[in-house]
Amino acid sequence: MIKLPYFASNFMHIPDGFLSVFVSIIFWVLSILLLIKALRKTNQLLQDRQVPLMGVLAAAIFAGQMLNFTVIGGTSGHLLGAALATILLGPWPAVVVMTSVVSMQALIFQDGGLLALGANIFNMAIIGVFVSYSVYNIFLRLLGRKQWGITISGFLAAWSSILVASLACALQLTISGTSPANIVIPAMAGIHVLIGIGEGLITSGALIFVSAARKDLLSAEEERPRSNKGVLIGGSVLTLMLAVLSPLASSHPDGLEWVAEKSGFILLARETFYELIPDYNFPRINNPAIATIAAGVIGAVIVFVVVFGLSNRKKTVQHDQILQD
Amino acid sequence: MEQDLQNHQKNKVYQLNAVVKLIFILLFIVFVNLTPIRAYKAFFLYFLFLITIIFIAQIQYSIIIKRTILSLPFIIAAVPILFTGYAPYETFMIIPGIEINFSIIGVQKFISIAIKSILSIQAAVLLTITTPMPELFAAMESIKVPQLFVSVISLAYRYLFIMRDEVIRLNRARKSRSSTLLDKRRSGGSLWWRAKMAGGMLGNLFLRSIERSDRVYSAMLSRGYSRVGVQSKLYSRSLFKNELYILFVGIILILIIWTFAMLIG
Repeated sequence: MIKLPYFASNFMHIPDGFLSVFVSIIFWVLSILLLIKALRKTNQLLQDRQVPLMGVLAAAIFAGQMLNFTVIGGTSGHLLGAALATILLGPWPAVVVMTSVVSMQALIFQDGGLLALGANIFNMAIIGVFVSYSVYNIFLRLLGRKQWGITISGFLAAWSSILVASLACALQLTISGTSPANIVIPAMAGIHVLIGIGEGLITSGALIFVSAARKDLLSAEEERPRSNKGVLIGGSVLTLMLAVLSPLASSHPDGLEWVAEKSGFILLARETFYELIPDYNFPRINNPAIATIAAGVIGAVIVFVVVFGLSNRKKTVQHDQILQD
Repeated sequence: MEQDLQNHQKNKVYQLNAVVKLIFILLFIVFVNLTPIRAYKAFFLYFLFLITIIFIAQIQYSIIIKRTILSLPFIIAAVPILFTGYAPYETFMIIPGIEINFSIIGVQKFISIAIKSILSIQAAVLLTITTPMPELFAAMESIKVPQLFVSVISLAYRYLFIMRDEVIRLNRARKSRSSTLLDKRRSGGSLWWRAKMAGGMLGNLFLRSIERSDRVYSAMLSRGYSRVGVQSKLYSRSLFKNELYILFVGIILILIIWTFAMLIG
């Protein structure tokens, strides 16, 4: 049995119960549509070779998430792998690989719910890949294709993919009425800014290794026709949208309620919406700006303390497990 | 693989067609999540239903609990609604001078999110434990999950354990080169050095698996691989009449509990 390897990115594997059925279904539909497109694209690219390559790589990424390295004290950095898969394979194959990884985690290890799987796929496999792709390519163009350009672009791609995916996750929780925007968004962003550094460092390290061993894999993307322009634009739009929407949502939480009412969500999800989205005001603080900051700080501290405690515990569990094997 | 070994027990739940189990569990999770908050009696009925199946399947409940606990930390994400839900508030004094407002609706919502989440996880664990993975993948194919995708994840599942061993070997190699000092809180080398080591291992793993997939592909070709899903042919069988009947009764029971919840909610 493989141990659930990591805790940190668990904050992105939403279990069932946290998303409203309505939100879950929307993200299921989006993810299925994009997965079908990704399968079709990979099919053109790899043909028969697709199944073995994608399958073995999905297993490798899943197992690679067991790799960790000590960051500070007892906390350790782990990895999601979306950025590395995107840089080495190109965006569409990476979507297939990451979707397989996330689905296996849900099906075999209950890491993330089944109803919430659509949203989890969307965050980790689609946002993760699209954002990595556009950030990597934009920075590669700015910095040049030298060794350090690749390393830095890889770091930034991995870091931003984690951050943006966590923002999406926070927004889904907010729309579902599970967490108030002014707390969950700053908390999620705060913690993933740090987790993203781990992901970025490990991705850069991997890129340095790959560029020494198999440089051809890194330049393969160059020769590819510009058929991935859609992904580039999609990734940039998603990044910008989430980067703008999240602070907006966390300072004007009523905005979400308003959007919900306007677009008729309320009729569809009566129960969920007007009952569940509360009026966000941190108790006993009148100034909304200070309230938001206070909420963010408190949230981040709580999350950090828990992550710190649990990752310590997890680490010893993992040690024992490896010894047993 | 241990899971797979357990599954050979002669037991009605294990032998049930995976399609029945998959559809039933998915519907169970959907309806649990559609149940309004505060319908505690309904939640209790769902729980009884689940426990009955677990009892019939003769699974140790402790296994299921253990798996549930692993997913529990996420509940932190719902903690803020304890304080930010709608009025009325209940005020508690922690230390003199500092008061905390609990929103009553917020507390109810928090409890129901926790219950829903626990019920859903346990249902999913039940599915995983009682269904061999190849059968589950075949069942996914018969409920129209794209065949190509099912082939990819069933291959991934097959290689998971090999890759796990590869990672363990990489880790052991790193350890034997003293990447960790005796004091577990510190490691040899700077942060960047450690990251580069871990990254190198990851890159290594990646390259090895790309090469491995080439070998897998030639092996598959030499054994007459064609795109037709082998999975479904080997592991799926058509539904027996009594299995359809079981599925039907199961769905009706879920619907009854849900209707009850809507009535009292």
